[in-house]
Amino acid sequence: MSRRFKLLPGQIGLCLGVTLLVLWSVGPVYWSFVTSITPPKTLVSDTLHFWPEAPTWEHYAKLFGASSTSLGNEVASVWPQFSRAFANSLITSFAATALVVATLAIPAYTVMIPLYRLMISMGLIDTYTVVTLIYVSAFLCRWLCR
Amino acid sequence: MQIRPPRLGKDARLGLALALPVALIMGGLVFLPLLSTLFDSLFRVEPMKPGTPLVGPKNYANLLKDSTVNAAWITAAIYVALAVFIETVGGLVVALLLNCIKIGRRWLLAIVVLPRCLPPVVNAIIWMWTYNPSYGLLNGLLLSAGIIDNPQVWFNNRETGLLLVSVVHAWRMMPLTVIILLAALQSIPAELYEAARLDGATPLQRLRNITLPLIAPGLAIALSQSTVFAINLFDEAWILNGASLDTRSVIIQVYVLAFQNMKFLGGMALSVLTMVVSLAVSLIYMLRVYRETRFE
Repeated sequence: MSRRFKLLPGQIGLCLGVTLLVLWSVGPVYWSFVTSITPPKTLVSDTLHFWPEAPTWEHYAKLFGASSTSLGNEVASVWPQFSRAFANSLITSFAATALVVATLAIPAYTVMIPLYRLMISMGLIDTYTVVTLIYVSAFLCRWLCR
Repeated sequence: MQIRPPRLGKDARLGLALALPVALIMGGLVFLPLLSTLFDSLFRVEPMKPGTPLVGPKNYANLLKDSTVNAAWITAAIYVALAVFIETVGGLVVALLLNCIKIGRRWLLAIVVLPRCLPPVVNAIIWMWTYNPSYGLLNGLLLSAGIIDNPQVWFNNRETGLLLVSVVHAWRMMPLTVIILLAALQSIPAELYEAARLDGATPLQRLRNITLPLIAPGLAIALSQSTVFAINLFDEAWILNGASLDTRSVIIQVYVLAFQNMKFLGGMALSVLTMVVSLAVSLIYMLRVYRETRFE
C-alpha cells in the first residue's frame, strides 16, 4: 500500500516546520559563533550583521597561543589557562562517564551543604576525585568545591 | 532435619556485584547527605552566633515568614508554568513533526538534540549575547522588523525577564521531552491510524483520541522531568540576571541564604522544601497523567 498521495500544502507545512525547528535549534549557536568572529568595533555597531564584513579569527588565535595587541599593549595568550581548563573538563567527563548515575528525583541542591562538609572532612577539596564524584550526583556543588 | 536457606544463584550474585557501585555512589552521595540535611535542618548553625542548639521546625517557620522567600516561590511557580508549557507543547509539536518525516530524520534529530549537549552555563552565555541590549540579536531582529523603535534592556522589566529566562531554560531542556515523546509516538501501531482514517476521523480527532491517550505514559515522564528541572532552575537565571529579586528562583534563594547570608540551615530547610514540592508535583503527574498502555 503506497501513501504517495500527500497534498502540496501539507508538504509546504512540513518544510516550514523543519526550517523553523532548525532555526530554533541552531540559531543561538550560530549567533554565538558569529559574535566570536566579529571584530569588537563592528559588534557594537548599530546595524545587524548576520555575517561580519571582516571576520576575525584573533579570538580563537588567542585561545590557542597567539598574543595580541589591544590599545597598543601586548596581551598575553590565554592558552595556559585554556589548556588547563580543557584538560580538566576532559578528565572529569571521562571519569564521570565511567560512573554515570542518573539522579533525577532528588534535586542535587538538597544535598550540597552536607556534601561540601563531607568533602572537607575527607580532604578532597580541590582534587579531581571530588569533581568526578560530584559530577555524577550534583552540579551546583562544583562551584563550591573547586 | 535441617532446612537450608536458599542460596543466591551465580547470576543473582553477579547482579548484586554489578549494582553495588551505583548503590554505593547513590547511597553515599545522595541518600546519606539527604538524611543528614533533613536531620541538620532542625538545628541552628550560624557562624555569628555561639552554639548549635536544637530549634526544631523553627528554620521552616522562619522561611514561611520571609517575604523574599515567598516572592522566590512565586517566581519559581511562574518559571515552572512557562517552562513546562513551552517544553511540553513545543516538544509535542516537534515530536509529531519528526514522526512525519521519513527522510533524514536522524540528522534532524541530531540538530534538535544540539541544545541539550551544551553545558547550562555556556547555554546561558550564548543567550546573554542574544539578549544583549546593545548588540544582541533579539533587539536587532525586532528593530529591523519594526516591532520596537529603540533597543530594549530586556531584564529591566520583570515579566520579560521571567519569560526570557524560561525560554533559555526551555531551549536547553526541550530535546529531552522531544526524545521521550518521539519514542512514545513510534510505539503506536500504524493500523490504528489507518482504521481511524477509514472511519473518517479528522487529523485533530486522531490526535485527541489515539495519539494523546497512547502517549500518556511518556507525557507523564516528560512532564515530571521538565517540572523538576524547572523548579531547580539556577544557572540560567543566575548568569542572565544575577541575584536580582525580579528573576530569583527558589534555588538562587537557597544559594543566597546559605552562602551569602551565611544562614546555612535556613538554606538547607528551603532546599528540603523544594525537594518535597518537586516530588509532590511528580507524584501528581504520575497519578493523573500516567496510564498503563498495552498494544495487543
